Amino acid sequence: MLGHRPVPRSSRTLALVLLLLSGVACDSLLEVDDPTSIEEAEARSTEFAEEWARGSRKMVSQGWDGMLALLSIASDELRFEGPHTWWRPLDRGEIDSPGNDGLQEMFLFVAAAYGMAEEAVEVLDSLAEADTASRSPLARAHLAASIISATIADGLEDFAPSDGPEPGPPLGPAGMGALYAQAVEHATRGLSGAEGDDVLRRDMLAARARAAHAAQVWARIRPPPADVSGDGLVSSSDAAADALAALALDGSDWEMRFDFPATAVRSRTLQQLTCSISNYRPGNTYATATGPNADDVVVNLFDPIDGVPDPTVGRVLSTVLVFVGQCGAGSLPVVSAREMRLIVAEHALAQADTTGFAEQVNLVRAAEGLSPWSVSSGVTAGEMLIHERRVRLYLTGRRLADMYRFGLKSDAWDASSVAATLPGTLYPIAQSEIDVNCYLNGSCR
Amino acid sequence: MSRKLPLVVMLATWLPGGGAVAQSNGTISGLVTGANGLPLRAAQVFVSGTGIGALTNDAGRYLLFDVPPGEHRLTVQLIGHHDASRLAILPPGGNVVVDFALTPAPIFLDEVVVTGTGAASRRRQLGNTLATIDASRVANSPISSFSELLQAREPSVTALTSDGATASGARIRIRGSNSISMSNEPVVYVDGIRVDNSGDMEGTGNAGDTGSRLDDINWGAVDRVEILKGAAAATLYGSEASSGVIQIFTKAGRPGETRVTARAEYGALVTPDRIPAAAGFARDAGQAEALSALYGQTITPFEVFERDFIKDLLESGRTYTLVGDVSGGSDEVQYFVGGRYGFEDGVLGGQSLGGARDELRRLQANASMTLAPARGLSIRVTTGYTQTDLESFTRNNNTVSPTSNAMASRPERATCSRSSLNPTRTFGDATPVCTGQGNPTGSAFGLTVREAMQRTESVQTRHFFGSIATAWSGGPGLSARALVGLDQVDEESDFSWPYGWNVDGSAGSFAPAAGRRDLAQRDHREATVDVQTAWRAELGRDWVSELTAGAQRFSLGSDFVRLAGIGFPAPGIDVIQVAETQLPETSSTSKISLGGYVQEQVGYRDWLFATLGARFDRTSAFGVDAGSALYPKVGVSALLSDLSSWPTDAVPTLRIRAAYGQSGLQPGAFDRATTYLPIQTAEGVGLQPGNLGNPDLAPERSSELELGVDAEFLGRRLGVDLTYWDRTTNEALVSRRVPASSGFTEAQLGNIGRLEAHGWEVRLVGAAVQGPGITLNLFANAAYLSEVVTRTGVPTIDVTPGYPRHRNVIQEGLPPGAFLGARLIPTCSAGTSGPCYTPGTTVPYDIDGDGLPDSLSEFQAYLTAAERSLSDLSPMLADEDGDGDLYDHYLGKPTPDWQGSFGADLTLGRRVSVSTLFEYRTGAYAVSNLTRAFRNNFMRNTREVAEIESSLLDPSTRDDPQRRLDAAMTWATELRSLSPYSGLNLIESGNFVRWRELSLTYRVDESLAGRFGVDDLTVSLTGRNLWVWTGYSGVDPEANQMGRCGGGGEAGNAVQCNFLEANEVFGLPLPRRFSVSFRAIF
Repeated sequence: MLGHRPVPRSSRTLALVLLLLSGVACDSLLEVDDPTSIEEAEARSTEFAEEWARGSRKMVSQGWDGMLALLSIASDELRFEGPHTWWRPLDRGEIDSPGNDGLQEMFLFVAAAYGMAEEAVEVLDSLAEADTASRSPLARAHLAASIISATIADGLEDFAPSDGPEPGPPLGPAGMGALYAQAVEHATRGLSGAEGDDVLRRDMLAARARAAHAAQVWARIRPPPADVSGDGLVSSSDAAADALAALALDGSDWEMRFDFPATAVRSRTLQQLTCSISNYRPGNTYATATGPNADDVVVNLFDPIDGVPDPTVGRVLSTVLVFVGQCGAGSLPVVSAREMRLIVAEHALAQADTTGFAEQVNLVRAAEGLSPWSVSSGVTAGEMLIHERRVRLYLTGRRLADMYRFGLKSDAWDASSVAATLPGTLYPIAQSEIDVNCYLNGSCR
Repeated sequence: MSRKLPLVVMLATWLPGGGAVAQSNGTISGLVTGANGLPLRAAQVFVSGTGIGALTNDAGRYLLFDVPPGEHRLTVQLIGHHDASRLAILPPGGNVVVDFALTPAPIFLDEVVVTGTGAASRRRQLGNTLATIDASRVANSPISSFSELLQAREPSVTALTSDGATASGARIRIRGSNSISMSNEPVVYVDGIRVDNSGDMEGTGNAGDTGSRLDDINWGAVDRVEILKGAAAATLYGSEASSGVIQIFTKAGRPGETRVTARAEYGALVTPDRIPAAAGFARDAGQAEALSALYGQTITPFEVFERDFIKDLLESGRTYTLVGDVSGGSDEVQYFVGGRYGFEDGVLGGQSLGGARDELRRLQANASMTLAPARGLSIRVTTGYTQTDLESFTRNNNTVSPTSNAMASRPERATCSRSSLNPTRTFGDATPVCTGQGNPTGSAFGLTVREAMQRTESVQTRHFFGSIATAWSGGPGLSARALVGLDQVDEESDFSWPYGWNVDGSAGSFAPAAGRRDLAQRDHREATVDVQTAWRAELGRDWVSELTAGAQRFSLGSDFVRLAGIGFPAPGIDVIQVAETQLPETSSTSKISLGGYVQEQVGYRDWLFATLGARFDRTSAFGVDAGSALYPKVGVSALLSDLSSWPTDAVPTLRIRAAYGQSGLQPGAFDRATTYLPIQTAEGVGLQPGNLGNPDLAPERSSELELGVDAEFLGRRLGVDLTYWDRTTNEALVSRRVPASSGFTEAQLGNIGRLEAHGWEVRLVGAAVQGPGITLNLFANAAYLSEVVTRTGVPTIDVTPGYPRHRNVIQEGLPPGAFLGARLIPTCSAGTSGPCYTPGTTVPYDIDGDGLPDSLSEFQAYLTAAERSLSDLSPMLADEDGDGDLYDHYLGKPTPDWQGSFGADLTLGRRVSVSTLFEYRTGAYAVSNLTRAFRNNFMRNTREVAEIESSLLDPSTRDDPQRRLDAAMTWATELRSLSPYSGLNLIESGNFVRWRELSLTYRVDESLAGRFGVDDLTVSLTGRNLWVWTGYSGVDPEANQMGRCGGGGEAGNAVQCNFLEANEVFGLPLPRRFSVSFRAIF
């Protein structure tokens, strides 16, 4: 028996109420709202079609830029100078370490961009079946997917696309060329949804041309050592045709650029040039920066015909360094009319058509106010192509593969580095990705 | 022996008009003192069996009215003292005087505690430990924040300081680390309501060094603190209590005369001289000549010289505090009103260079009122408000910090090349200032000290809490209480690079020359509703049952707004809307928890107690469809010395206890859901993958077993409190990265980890001397901690992903936060595998690249063939396991095996008292000395490195190959640390003993004090962080770059906040604090 006297009714009632309160919880009391994110089911609705396309482009711009940061420091375009010394091995041509922290940082952007681009295409594909308004976003998502697929093939030895959050098997070094085919396929599908939008069609054609050309370059340098026979030239009629089609749509000196406004997304490449903890400086053979500002740039690379400091290099660096202090803000070209013309020119040269070559190269040079090239300029067509690609495509991620296929070495490379001893070597899958992919670390059961 | 407290002991009847006195009844009065004769306040004096009692006043006096005539047993009880009891014979209508002298009780088992116990309980009833801190015992101690009140008081309760800047917060750890991915901070309650104890939202000092909201609590208004150390004790707090619970009870008024207390304190802060000056040497005669002119001293090529830039940048700080409170009341109403204003101008000097400051202004106010409107019913209203204005500066691991720049300067690179030296100006004592642009310290970070001083950081915080609590005691043994409370934080920060900050022409920085300003605001709310009912019943003569049930609702909401403006049109026009670029950002979070508990405690003859309870929890973090989590607890306490057969002579008090319990930690509010984030893109709003989510998330669950014994020896003069605990955290939440090619870069939380820990806690309290005119009480405590991560389910987790110079990792088989890094190849001995070197024959260098150590002669030839830079000398690193990873050696752990404190309280006569406290950490305690590593490897501005580099570069030493060899060997074995992040020679022992507190208090003669209307006047001289004994070569073994961390209320990067410990990176040593204070009671 508890206690000596009966407990008053009021007390018992109060106790009962408190006990009930302690044991029962109404579901509605647990409902909370997250106003800063969107749940998956809601996000996959037509309401967010435009947002998927924009998000995909943004992440692809980051991934593309991350690969640019890796490719430009490994090539002679940029050199290391700064406190984060993990960039130094890459500058020296030691690019085969999966654990390098620069690689690990950038790989994250690259791989995530691929995942987002593919998911955006998948989501918008399903939405576009019933919603015509989703077709334009779908086309733009295809463009982004095309760019990142080609970019990954440009820079990595291998890649393992995942299946959602589940890891997927690697393509294998020999299978990486499939990413160029995937890039071409995305651009082709994107073209069909880009009717009426000439700028988008131009960019789509350019992306397809650049992917087809890069596939030929990749085939030359892979597997290493790179094949440097035949002056390293490649020829792709598909690429040339697409390039001409893009030029036909827009005859101006256009560029498709990724923008990195300070209000939205920062470029890792530009951060390394314009932040207080900057680690990159222009390559010695391109320019000397006596100070951090745009005015401090002295171009060292001279035009082989006119003997003047190359205007493109100076302009690119000035455009970049004007953002000193904004740390990663700016804009970088992805594909351009000049690259299209150089693709066409190379195709012509590979066919021994120096007239066609000169026509395209001189249009590029004229846009910079430089004298035209001719067979009598004292510079061979091959040398001219190498130079024009070097300066007109400065900081677009093409240089490392060009160095490999043209048999060039960076003065920053250690003689024993893998870039010097085994040209054609690209970056490995980062250790951080290996760690979480059982196909890569051998832990799959 | 039974020591039942009377049910009502606070019926003080001696107030005027307190009640009619029966004609035949009389009074009993007297004085209660300690063994030293000093009066004791708030002792409970009661007449056994009558319900008559009173509390002693400030003078130690009591008065009992209306006592029936006859023989009575009077008993006195006071926390921390043995009970005293005397017989008194009161004649009808008479008065007797009965005085008491209480002796200290090392083990006090009748202290009433409430945290985690269900109903209020005496300590003897608990199977688990429950630590208490009596704030009145440290009233004269050198304490300036609530974190310092906690520091070094209780075994296993650790305040991890950060650095010596003003308002730099501390992280609180109880029994080490309980979780990998969730916060290891204890939850904090004030008067029953949950309060925000996160870090500053943005973190002044950048690089993670933040102040703590815990320090918003006015420690001067704290009456006592109760601390639950782990799951065995904190079960009733449910899903967020695994890391412990701190409950703070603010002061309340007492029936009696109005009591007014005033205190004023004035102090100074002095930075210990532990930061080595910057060293360098001129490379040629021209440079030496220029440097000689700049510094006004003779500098010759290759002769190392030093300049103490950091000393010049620091100054003595000053501080003052004003405190006042009023309390009192009647039986029906009691009140307390208190306020505190503190000002601190910290140790950062150089104010002539720029706007950076190190100042804190903190206004705190507390009030409480307790009403007793009817018999058995009481209502208590409490409020607290703190207003903090902090101006601080960037520091620690940050290139734009003025202090980091001063430490990292290379004096040989100093120049006023763009202007000229201003011979009339220096900052500090000797560092020159250029007339125009220049870099007179040779700062190595791309901006000058003067430019770094332009950056300003300010944080304003308004922190309010309030609660209403009702307690009711009804029928026999039945009671109930209900509490509603709110904690509200409004925090604003303003970090600014003003227009034209680059006064020395630097351009590479986080901000353009036209300036940048970052504003942020946090609106944070926590609401607590708590109801409880208890039913106490006697089951026959020997058994007592206490049944408790309760329910709580806790909700949390935070809204953040951040706004940055980059590039302003002109000086002074730094409003965001005119900035060239504007960056807005908002975010929110909210969380709700509902829980209930039931507990039954059975007592047998007041010496044996058994407790069984359970907590049920539901939380929004798991969604509305998720079920409840159940956490059980059980405890046993047996006071064996209360058995009649107990031989009390040898061990007068002996209690054994055991407790087992579980509690949890829940994931973040939205961790369960797969979400996409709206983001700003160059084209407009877009989406990107946010949280991958995990619908199967559950709270992680800690199970803890405690076994303990409390005993008194030597005639109750020595008390020992010994506890063993063993804890396992199952289903620990671990961030599991998924392939980045999924598009999701944020890791996915999963219940896949496991941590195990055990430890010992021992506390010794001894009354060494108890005599007239002198008492000496000694105390010491120690806590042993062993913890290991037994499962993560993922590869090694870098505590700071992307920053490999932080070497802390989470890895299976190692203590959490363990340091991994490189080791030099070993010297050859039997059994050595892999490359090794033999001193005198070979060296730990492989210049020829053959994979083997070079011979001594080969290496000497290399050294003397030309001048060698330290960059040319890369020592060979060991790879014993041959896996190609040079950085996987276990180098130590950031938590010591043993830590604790010891000290003494001495009173001499009635007027003088001295208290002192020492804190120590020892046993496998490692600190990553990144300051030295940076300075050795990149700035090369420590004397040791400058001297060996000079040896290698000085052409004259070509003829001294041994000198060059010695330099190279010192480089390999002692100094080379970062290459760029190897960890070689980086981790060193951080064992220390710190003289934490000293206070000397003099009580002014009462007659003298009385002339000023003061009842009690004391003067105290105090010192804090007076000295540190350590073999650690760095700035301070307690300096850590993280501060409080966890800014913004939610865990943030919890892994880093949890385990980036013992990383000293350009922080300032904890300053010595000297003060004088005056305390008066009216």
